[in-house]
Amino acid sequence: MNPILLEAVLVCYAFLLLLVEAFNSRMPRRYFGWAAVVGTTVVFFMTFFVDSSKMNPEAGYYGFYAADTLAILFKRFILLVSVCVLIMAIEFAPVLVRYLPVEKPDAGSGEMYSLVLFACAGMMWMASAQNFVMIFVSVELVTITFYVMVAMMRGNRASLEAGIKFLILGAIATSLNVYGIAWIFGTLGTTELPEIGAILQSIDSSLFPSLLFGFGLIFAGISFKVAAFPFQFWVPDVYQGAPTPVTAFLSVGSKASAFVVLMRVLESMLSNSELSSKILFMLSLVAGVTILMGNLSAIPQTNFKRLLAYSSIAHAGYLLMGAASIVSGNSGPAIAYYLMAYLISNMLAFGVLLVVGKSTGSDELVHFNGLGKKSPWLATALTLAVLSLAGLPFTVGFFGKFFIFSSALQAQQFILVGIGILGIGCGFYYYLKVIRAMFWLPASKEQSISSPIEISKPYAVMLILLSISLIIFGVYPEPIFNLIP
Amino acid sequence: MAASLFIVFLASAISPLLVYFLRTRASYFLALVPLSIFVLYLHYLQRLHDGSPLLETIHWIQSFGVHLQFRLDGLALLFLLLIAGIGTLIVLYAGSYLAGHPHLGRFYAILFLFMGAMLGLVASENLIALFVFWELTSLSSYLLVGFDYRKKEARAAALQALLVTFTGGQALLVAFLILASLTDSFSFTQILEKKIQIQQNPSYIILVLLVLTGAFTKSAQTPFHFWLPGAMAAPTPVSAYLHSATMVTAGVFLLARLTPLLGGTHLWAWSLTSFGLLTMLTGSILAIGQTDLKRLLAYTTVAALGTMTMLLGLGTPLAAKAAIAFLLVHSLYKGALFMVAGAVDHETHTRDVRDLGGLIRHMPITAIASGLAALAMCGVPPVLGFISKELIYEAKLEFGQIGWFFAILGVIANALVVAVALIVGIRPFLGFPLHTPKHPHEAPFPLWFGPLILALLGLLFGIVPPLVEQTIIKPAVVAVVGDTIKVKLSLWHGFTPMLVLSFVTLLLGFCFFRMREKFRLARETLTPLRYYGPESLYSCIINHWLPSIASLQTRILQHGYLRYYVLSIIAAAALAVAAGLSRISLPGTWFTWRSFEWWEVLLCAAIFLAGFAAILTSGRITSVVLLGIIGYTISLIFALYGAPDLALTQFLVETLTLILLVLVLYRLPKAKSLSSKASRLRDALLSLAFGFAITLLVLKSLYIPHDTKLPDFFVQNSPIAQGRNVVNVILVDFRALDTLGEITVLGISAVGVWAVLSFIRKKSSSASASQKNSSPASFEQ
Repeated sequence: MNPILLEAVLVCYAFLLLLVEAFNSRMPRRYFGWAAVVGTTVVFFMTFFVDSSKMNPEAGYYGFYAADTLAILFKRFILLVSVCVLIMAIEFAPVLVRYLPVEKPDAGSGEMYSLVLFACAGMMWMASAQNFVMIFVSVELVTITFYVMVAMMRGNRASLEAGIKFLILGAIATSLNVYGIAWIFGTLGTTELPEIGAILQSIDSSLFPSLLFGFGLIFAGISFKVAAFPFQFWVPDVYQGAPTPVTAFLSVGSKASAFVVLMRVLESMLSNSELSSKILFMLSLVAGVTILMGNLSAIPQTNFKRLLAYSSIAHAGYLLMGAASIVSGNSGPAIAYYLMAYLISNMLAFGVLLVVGKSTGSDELVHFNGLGKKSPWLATALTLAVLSLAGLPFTVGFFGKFFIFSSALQAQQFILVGIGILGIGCGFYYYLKVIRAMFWLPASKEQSISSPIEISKPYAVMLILLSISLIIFGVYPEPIFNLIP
Repeated sequence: MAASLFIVFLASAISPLLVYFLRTRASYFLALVPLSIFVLYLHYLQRLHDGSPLLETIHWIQSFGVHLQFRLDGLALLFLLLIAGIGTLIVLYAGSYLAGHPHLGRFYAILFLFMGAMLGLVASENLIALFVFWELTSLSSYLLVGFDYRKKEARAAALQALLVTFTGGQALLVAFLILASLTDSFSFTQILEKKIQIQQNPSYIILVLLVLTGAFTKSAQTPFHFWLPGAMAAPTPVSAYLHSATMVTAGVFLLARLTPLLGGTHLWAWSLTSFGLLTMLTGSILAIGQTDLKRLLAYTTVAALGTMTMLLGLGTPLAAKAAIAFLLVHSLYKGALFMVAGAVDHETHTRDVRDLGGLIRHMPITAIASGLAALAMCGVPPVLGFISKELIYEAKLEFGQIGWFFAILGVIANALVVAVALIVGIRPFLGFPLHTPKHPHEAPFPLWFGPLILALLGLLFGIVPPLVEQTIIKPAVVAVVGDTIKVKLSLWHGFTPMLVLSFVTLLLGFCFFRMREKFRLARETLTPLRYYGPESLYSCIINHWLPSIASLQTRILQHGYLRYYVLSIIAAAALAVAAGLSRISLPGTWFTWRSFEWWEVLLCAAIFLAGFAAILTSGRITSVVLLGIIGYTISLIFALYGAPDLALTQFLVETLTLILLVLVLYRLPKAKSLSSKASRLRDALLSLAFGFAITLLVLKSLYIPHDTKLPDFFVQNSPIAQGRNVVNVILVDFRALDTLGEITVLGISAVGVWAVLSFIRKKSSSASASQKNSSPASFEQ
């Protein structure tokens, strides 16, 4: 099967859903959610039958679209994330509807599901993009879809505010990105990454300043997507304001696909060691500041969603640390593994956050007090999730950190590793705060008498699967490793 | 080895069930688990005679070279036997001590988790596996210390111990990763082969510092000693197990394990010796003034750990022998005394030594156990403690003058320990019975059984030293020093300096014991000094510095104001561009003076005037219109320089934007002047900087060699497309599909605008009150 069919099928399906949703007002909206889940799952299984030799080298898309193992791996990754996000969105729909100024109780929640599919297709294209034009278009597809999804709760001020902030800051990042691409194209005459790599091998150093401008601006654009300093400003406000499933999607899917793009751009640049050492120095700088900034800012947070936002900045820092160590051959697999670990742990954390937030009406950490008593299973799942985010042994997060740090050490990034250790130390501080709230602090009166949190069966299955894989891959990470090229 | 680990972890999993069904009796079944492991490794001892370690490998993460490898040598076996042996007694003890406790099952689950982690730690051959088990011991000890989670002090102590040991753990991980990057292996045996290469590498110093941080935090060496007394908030079985023989000695184990690799240098020897001595003195001095049974014992444990570290630092075979022998002795007597303290606490409901006396009448068997253990702690013949003390002095005296200095410091510290032994082990049982919160009876069997066994073993090994010297101590010493040596223990060496020192120690210790009230007084008067100690530094960092730095940093960067976010990004971009520009020089010809046409001057003036007016005006619409003037002027420039089509496009876009903006802004209230003069000045400077940077960038871009492939192509091929204006041909011919797409996008957005407009019209006509709702939401939080 030709790999480009994957996205094509997904996008067509999303259009179909959107149209049916628009012209059918009787069907319950959650059916569209399940239909989207089914569609995504089908595409996920389709990835096992793709054959990149089916791609026609004569076709126009050939230089744009890579279907190597890395791309396929990340497509699967993104599809899994999307399935989780869709299930979360179905669970979240009652909350979403509450903030929609519509007459019919169910209306307005159906578009969410097709939007998730569009964003998913965009991320899949990002995973395959090996041309700056393709990168720009797919990144914009994702970003613009997210503008809508973030502001989806139109009756909620926080959501609207998040949408505006995201839009304006995102527009700045986009303009930087496209300006950078223009510089690169103006200097090298091509936007194709493999070709750029070939040209860079033997290039006159008088072109370095303009190339550095170009790559610098492009990395600024990517930094916005991965939430790295100084483009992390939007993260806390947008994460907190956006509907929780969208936040989860932003934090995992969007970040992962941006890292694939980053790795591909970096790889094309590695052929020129003089240029790449400059860029890598810049990346190390950004990584160090991002780790420190994210971890320190997470410490005083009292809102769990905002805490996760800062922790996502910190994780972006660790991932950038891996990217800055690309000269050691292991950093690619290390980043891929880290992203897998982050997917599992973060999805689990947001999964629990969603139901707790849904039942208490707030994401404040205070509302997690006494959760260990009220809903021991949810509390256990969240404990696993935060322990894994903190990087404790026997959780999947440990190996993520371990691989990143060992590849950084191979690349002689000693200062960065030192900063990373500091960051992990801070991490324990605020992740344990969550556990303390759940198991040590007593719940307030009205909470302890409220009924236990109810969750639907498929949702519970998702949480259980995530928890189990968190432990299994924390003890035995080999299966994930075998998937990574 | 893997099998025994599996059994222990299995026991951890099923113990809650077992306790649920069998109540307290479950402890007898659970005690079988460590007992069987103990017997198994006793059996292994015989296989070790040739001195080479037994290795066992299970593949784990092949791609990263991480395997579950076990290394059973003398050192590992000594620890395995201690962990399993004392573990057996503790499991029995805890069953009785915590009888009827609602969470006994959970307690056993964590205890076995800890036991498994500890067994894995000492038997690990792979450094990463060692680290994982190391962190697991920290985690499970956190859960054990905080077992009484309703007590605030228990939670605080648990967290303190966890943070201190975790910090060390991270340092250790980095040390292991450095080792791996130097040798391309995580396997201890393979790393050991490259010893010289590692010691000559410049990163050796960092490596040693990191390893020492890890080991010192775990083994409570000064300045990290403070967590251990704090951790006495744990239930007594936990203290007896973790804080005497197992967890705290993990750091000593690590030092011993790595001595063959990192030892033999001045750095290693001096840092271990000096920190060891310092810890020994700190621990013993702080101990004597305490009144709580467990805290007394905890501080002497600190002193004992210091002694072990110091002996490892001395590095001679004799010192290693002394260290291993002392480790064994200490585990036996300290475990016993902790259990006795628990039994006394259990029977009298107090742990204050000032309230205890004459207990021998009520608790004779406990008293015997306690007395024997105390004698071992004092180092009185014929107990094994005496032999180990002699060995320690002998090892020190090998070093001549500085050795005498060490020995004298040792005498003082040991004398203080002797005094504590008398206070803890002997005094509560002698003298007049004092009134205690609960009337004491002899403790139940499991509570005296453990201490008695341990104390008797100490006596037995003292009388018949061959029982341990060749079987346990020698293989362990060989594993540390690396070659075979003669190990001979005996009670009587003749009249030697060591014997004199031993007796001086005992005498001085007895004097200190008599002066104990004075020490307590001194401690109370000196308490304010704690303010300058490492513990208050710790609490300062955790409770004040870290949160305040963090919140300050967050306030500065993440205040929620969109305008400052944009401002920061622009500042960062301007800075980056400026940093890049500093290395670029423009060619001298970038600006040449020539006469301007009058309309050029006019246009420039118009742009400038409009720009300034846009900044100065307070009306939104006015400023938009002024910006529009700039746009129109630019399109005029396009027109005048021969690009009428571009001018037309610019004109249209400008008009459309203007209309849209006016439509939106019309509904917003009038702009208020909110910003202060200073912030305006800042904004102005920043805008100027950014504009300047971009201007330079544009100028520069004219002077870098461009790729001319595309322009050439279009110029050459335009005639084929029947057009002479290249831009037009590109738009309608070469990129016709793009243009179509753009038209579609424009159309869709026009529809969107129309929908919004009609929505607003409907809304405002239906209810005039609803106008209030469309007032802008505040962008600030």
